[in-house]
Amino acid sequence: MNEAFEHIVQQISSVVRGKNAHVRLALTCLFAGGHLLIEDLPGIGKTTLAKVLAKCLGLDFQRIQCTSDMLPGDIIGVSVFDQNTGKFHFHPGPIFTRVLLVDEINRANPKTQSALLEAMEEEQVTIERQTRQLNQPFFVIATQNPIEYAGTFPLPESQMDRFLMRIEIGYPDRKAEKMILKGEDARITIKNMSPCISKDDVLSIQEQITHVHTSDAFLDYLQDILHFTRTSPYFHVGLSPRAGLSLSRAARSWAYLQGRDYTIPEDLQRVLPWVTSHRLHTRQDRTEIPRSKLMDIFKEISVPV
Amino acid sequence: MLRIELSVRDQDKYLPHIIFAIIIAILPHLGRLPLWIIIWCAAMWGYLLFSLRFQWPRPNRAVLILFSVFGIFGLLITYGMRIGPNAYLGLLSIMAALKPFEISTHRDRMISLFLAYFIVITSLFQSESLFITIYMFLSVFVTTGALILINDTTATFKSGLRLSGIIMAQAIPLMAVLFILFPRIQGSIFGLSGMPDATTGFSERLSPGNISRLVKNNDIVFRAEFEKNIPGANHLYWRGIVFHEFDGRSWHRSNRIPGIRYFPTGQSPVTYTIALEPHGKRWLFTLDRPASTPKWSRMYMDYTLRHLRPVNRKKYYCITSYLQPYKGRLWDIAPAQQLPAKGNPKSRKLAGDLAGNADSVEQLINQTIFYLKTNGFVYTLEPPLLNRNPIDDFLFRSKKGYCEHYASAFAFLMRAAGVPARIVGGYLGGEVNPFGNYLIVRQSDAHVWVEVWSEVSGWMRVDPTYAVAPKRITGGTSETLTKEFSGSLFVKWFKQLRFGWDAVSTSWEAWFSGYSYLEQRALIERLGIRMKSLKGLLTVFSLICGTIFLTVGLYVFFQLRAPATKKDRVQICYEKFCKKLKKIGHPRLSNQGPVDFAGYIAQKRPDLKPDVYEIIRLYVQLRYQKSHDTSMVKHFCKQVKAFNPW
Repeated sequence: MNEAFEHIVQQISSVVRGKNAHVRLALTCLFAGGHLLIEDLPGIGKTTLAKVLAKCLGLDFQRIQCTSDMLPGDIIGVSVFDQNTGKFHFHPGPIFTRVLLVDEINRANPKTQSALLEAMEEEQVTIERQTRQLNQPFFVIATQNPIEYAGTFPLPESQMDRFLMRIEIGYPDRKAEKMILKGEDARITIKNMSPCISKDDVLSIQEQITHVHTSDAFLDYLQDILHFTRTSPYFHVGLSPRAGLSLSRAARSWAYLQGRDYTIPEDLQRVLPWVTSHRLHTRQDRTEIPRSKLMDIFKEISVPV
Repeated sequence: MLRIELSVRDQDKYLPHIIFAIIIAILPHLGRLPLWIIIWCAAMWGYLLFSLRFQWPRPNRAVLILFSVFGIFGLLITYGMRIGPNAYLGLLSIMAALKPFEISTHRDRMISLFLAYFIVITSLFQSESLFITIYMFLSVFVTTGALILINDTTATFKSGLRLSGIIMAQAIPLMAVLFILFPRIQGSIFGLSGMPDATTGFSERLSPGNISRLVKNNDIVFRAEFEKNIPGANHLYWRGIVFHEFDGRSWHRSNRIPGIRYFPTGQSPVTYTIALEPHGKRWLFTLDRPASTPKWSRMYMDYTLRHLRPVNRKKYYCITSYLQPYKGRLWDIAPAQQLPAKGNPKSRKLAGDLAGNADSVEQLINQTIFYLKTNGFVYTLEPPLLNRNPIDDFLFRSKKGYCEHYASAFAFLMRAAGVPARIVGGYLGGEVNPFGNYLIVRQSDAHVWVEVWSEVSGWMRVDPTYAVAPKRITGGTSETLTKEFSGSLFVKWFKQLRFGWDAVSTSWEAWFSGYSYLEQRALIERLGIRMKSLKGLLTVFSLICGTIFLTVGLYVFFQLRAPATKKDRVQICYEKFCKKLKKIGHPRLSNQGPVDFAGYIAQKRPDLKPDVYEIIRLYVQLRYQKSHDTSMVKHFCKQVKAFNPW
């Protein structure tokens, strides 16, 4: 494990307790240049995770609480007429940040959702015929409530694809929860925390990750996986080439976090369930596949010798 | 316009390959094709290849038809009505020379190559020798390579040839099965058989110069393999033809000799197999004196064997002879006494003188031999021409001659003295091939000798040539005639090579050509299947089909099972490593990556941890890292080899 990352993980874990694996995945996703979808109940620590990530990496942070009456302008920003100067003045929305927490994204109406997701993909927004670049790095953590569906607009499959990973944080275990109960307020901890690295470091790491070597043997394995999902009777639709690219990106990022400049099949195995679970559906009723079941299915794919 | 040009170029792309394949196929026939056809082919193909290079115009359809008509006309002139394999071959060659001109579609290319295959097959009309067989393989190899090339646009000539080689190697088991089991036709292919040049060898007439012409010919007449030891040189008189009739100048074979009724008997039987090269005549050669007849042949009262049909294919026969025959049963000896009424008066007088001094036939023979020995006779291959009384001229004037002169004079003297005598033509001796322990008899071993009848001992063999040139009998012609040309190392080596090749190709031919309908039936009946019954035929048929299906099935099975990509050394070694661990009860799961596997092993067998980690480190480096060199592969394989989990 890369020591610098170990340090970051330690620091984040001191706030988000007992969720070491999820912290690693979130970091992997961030450094891979992807966005993260967290599907979980309120109060689990999503906001805390987002905040501490931003703080630790020296990035600024914004939060959007989605509602059904929200408009794209609420996210992107609006031009306001300034009476003093007699000109329109652009007020950037919360999207002009580096770490953006979009709470309950499925509550936003489709118009707003797609405006956000488009901005995530393009890394730029166009307002009144003027294109504005988003900040770099740009990392979106969106959350969904898996239980309450009333009055929501579920993300279409095509838009789910925009998220590199989807994770569920889940309840902390007993020991971790005790620590949470014992410890001081997370908000204060975060406030006092000093960044481990700067935003320029983050950019350079993202750049280095694109140069992590993927050998033919590794790509063979990746292709075997893609082929498996396309021919297997379990899945309604197989993984797209974009999903293949996402897998490769995530695996490279994971390998980099492990301190390697090349990928091995294990990297892929680690990120596989998190990258694919929101992209695959059962053939019978097109519902999502429980992650544990998915992991079992993927065990059928053998690693090329 | 451009498109058309491209397509023209495309359609000509394979012409050189097709022509090359046809040339390779036709090459072994060069000796049998008349010169004009060879020139015809060379001209056509040469023009075509040049026209490719320099964009010369191509003849159109009408011209091609005209050419074909000319070609067929030429064939008619050359061969007339003698329709045989040579004529077929000529027709094939002429058409093969013209066909490439009209190649424009894929179908034409295919037809041209099939033509090449057909020409390859015709090689078998000529000979089934080892050389031709090997050459045919080469030819099929090249033609198949061209066939692959024209069908697979991505192939290069080299890759086409490689695939062709693979296909041929795969076909060999099938070929062997078909060779052994496919029902044989009795007789030759398509009823055609090679018509060998009948210009060499004995004719039915013996006149001065016949034999000396043969002596310069080094062609092989037959090979003889003895069951036991090869008899001594003085017994190796290979009997072929007996000349009874003398017309004053030359000797003829008599047509009035009846078939034999009782086979000769005697002492010292020898059994041997003769592989007779086709000579276009009917006689078969045997050691004096044959005691059995092979199939399809008949023995006459003069102990000659004649085949029922001219020997136009290689003939194998096994025969037993008695080297020391008992006195044969008497048969009308009149033909052995016949002499023309007039001619050769001096010789008649000499015969009378010799007979007057002799009490018995044996004495007469000895005196005559003595006469030949002492009167300055010379043995030569280039005797002077003889006049109208050849015997007189030879005995009293030239005194120079070859075996036929001596035999002829001797037989004449015997007959003039009232003793029945006849001339036997055949071969003497032969060359022993040390590799196969068989005799090679060549045309140059041709010889004639005399048989004389006596009441006491029957027909006796007398070789008057022996009196003049004893070496001719003991050493063979070449030793007598050439002064032992230098036995340098190269000559020795070359001789060895020739003997070795002869031994190999002889046994090949005996095996390949010798495997006929009868051998096949014998083999199949040994398997317990009776060929003559319908059930037996069905069994053989299903056996063939079964074998073919099994072969194809197995092939398909292994093809489907085999992994799509070839494994490299690293993969093989890693599998070996996994196998070793599997043996100690820790198999690698198919979905387990190398690092996970190493962790699993380290947990189960902490003692193996350093070795396993090192091997896995190398493996990961070789398989997943950017660059590595071959020495690392070696190191990795060495480590795996040294790894011992027990």
